[in-house]
Amino acid sequence: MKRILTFILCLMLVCSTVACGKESTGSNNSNSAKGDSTQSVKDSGDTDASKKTDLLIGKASEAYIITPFTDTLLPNKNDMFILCSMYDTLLYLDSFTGEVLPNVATEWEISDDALTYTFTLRDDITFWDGTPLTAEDVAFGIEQAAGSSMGPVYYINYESATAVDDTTLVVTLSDPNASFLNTFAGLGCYLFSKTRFEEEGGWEGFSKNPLGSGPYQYESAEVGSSLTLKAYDGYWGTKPSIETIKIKYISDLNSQVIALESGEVDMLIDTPISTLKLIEDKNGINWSYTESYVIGSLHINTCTENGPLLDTNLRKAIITAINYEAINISVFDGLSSRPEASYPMTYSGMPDSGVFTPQLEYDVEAAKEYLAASNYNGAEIRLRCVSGTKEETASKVIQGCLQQIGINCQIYASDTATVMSALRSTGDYELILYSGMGPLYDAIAYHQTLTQGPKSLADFYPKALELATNGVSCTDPKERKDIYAELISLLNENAYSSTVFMDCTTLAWRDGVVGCENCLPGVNYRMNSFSWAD
Amino acid sequence: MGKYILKRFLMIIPTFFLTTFVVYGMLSIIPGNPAESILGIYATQEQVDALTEELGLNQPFLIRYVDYIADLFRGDLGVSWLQGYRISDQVMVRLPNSLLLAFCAVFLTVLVGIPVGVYAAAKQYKLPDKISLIMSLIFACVPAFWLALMAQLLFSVKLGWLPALAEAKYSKSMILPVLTLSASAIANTVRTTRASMLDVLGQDYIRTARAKGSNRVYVVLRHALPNALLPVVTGIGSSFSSVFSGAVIIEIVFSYQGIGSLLITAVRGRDVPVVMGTVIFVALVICLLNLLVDLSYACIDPRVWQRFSKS
Repeated sequence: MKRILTFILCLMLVCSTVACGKESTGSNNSNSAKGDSTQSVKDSGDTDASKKTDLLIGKASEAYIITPFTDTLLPNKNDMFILCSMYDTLLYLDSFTGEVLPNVATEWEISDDALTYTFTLRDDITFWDGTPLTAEDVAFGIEQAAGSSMGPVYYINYESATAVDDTTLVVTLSDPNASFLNTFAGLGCYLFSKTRFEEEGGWEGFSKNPLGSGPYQYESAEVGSSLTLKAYDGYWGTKPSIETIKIKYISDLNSQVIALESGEVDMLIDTPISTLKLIEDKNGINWSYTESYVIGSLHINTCTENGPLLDTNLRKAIITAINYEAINISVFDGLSSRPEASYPMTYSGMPDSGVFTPQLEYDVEAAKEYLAASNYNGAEIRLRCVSGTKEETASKVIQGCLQQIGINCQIYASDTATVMSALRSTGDYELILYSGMGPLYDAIAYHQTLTQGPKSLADFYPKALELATNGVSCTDPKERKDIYAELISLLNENAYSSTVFMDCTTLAWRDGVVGCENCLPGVNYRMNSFSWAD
Repeated sequence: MGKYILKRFLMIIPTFFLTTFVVYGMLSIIPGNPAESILGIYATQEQVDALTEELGLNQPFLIRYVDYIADLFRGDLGVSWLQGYRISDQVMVRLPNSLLLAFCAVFLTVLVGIPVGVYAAAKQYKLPDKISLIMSLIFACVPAFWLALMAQLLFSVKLGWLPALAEAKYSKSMILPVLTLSASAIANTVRTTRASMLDVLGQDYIRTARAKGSNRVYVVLRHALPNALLPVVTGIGSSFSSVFSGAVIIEIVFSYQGIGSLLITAVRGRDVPVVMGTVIFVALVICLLNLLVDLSYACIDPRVWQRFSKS
């Protein structure tokens, strides 16, 4: 009996070890396109002979969805470069100038009352299976987006979308929306096949077998590990020269740069500058950065009945006590700057620099004077931020600055859900440092900020809400800029919030990769612009 | 013996319920609404309320827990709130990967730790003994994530011998994760084996065997080692649990597709069904492994076997 038991135990141990091993990761529950056999892209240790047609990109976080959106989920801004490569948009936003350019739509007309938009589409665009992209697909996608969680954000005042013929699309609004064109230049309007969506019965099926018209098509995915895209030879635009792109998720930042150094990945996207500085002098490694559209702002809780920060002098003391350059140095190695307003000045609708009341600047003496004039009684000021992020690093600098002038500031670093909940609903904070990017590349984001959540700033500041609401529907560009100049002045004069830093987008790549020298401040990369040097 | 095994199996049930209750409770009392995190900062309150209701987050804790357990016994682990995949599918892929990593690490621990410990005990106070003690002290103290990074820098970047990132298959990419994961366990095993061997080597029956003229190696391996192995097996058994749970850090550093990295991502995103699914499987695996370790005592020590048989 004892020998039998011993034998059984040994056999179980050996079987467990053998059974856990696999021949190929390609067979691990990959969600490959229907009808295709599961193929993995070459492993990182393959020879250089195959490298010229493949590109391995390292990325910190996994793309949660690879469809334009779902009923409940919106794509993360960090994943937009994947979606921009898989799906076309009706228009294209120039990230540097904010100008909206033709893309799938070659021209458009806006009616005099700004309620009707008529788009003329290209007639030579096909999906990955060769079927043509028509206005009906675009209209269907817009209807789906407007009815999803994207609707209130991207489709303000939207009424209907109709395909007049294969290349003509008419979109109508109930009221004017000055930012409406931007909706079609980004997250709001990734185009996908109506037929495939209906065949798959909705987003769940479509996510396993997507069909877009972008330069790269979905090949396979391993949850938590990688996503593989294959070039679409029938793409109407710039033909992709790299045959296969594999995006590998490497959550540890040190492992990212090690993988780049050792050649296991060819490119890294959005690695923090402080990490890239570690490999700055390494041969064969290059990196570039640019200030992005993501802005870290200090939200001050004035949405309470009798909170300490209803005291204007205390708010001004806090804002003037913060050494913003020190934050820039500690988080971005001095390569960033403090933005003038809560949204980039290149956003459409934003006023020109210098025409509105500027934010308070760092001034320790002024901070002490404001503090002395306030009613601050030494109570704890909670500074909330998401742990393990740039915001936490910046928060430590803020805490030091505030404590230096006598404000009892304590950091409460927690997960995103807790911080989001405090900001949106519970109001359980005095200060929150949170980074965000206005979704429409337009000053309309002020309206969304002022109205989000039940404890919204708008309840307490009717004038701010009135200005933001006027800005939504005002179609005269100059008048719109004046509205937002007045709004920004109102917010700055009363110290309701303060910008802290402008985040940076980075690209790092090994010698031989071409087309990534210029980082984009937005996130609408087209990976068909990448190639290997000859 | 059969009764003992059955009793131990039945004890897994209350352990399972206690574990799920505690973890589910902890996830419930953490402040913040996962629906708000999922939808993002620009979602309207109506959308948040709709998703909260869809996910059942507006129900009382006990009702949610009972519903979850009921679904669990029907074999339904649910779907990820963040990515929509079936949790059972992902766990079935990743759990074997983590077990592979852990088994390889424990195998290496046994392969290296016991012989080195035996040799160190046989050569007490000599150079091999001193070297083994110093090295085991170093590797027992060094954090696993630091060791992993240093190994990557040395073997991947400087020497280019091994890949920096690991994949779950029998290839050289598994070498670094297994080595770094087993380093601490090997160190502890060396010290435990050495101490246990020294204790046994000082016994009268060992002296008698040597006095009768038996070969030194034969005495160590045939008489001393089996008696010294009991505390070592205990240590290896508990080290499996720590290796399995400690693999989380190694999986993150080497981007290894294991259950630990799945758990970390789910905790960060407050993806409750994924957290529960992974915790349940991890708890079950550790319970079963502890049972196997207990049963293995009976194989090694006849006294334990007799005690089991009598009871």
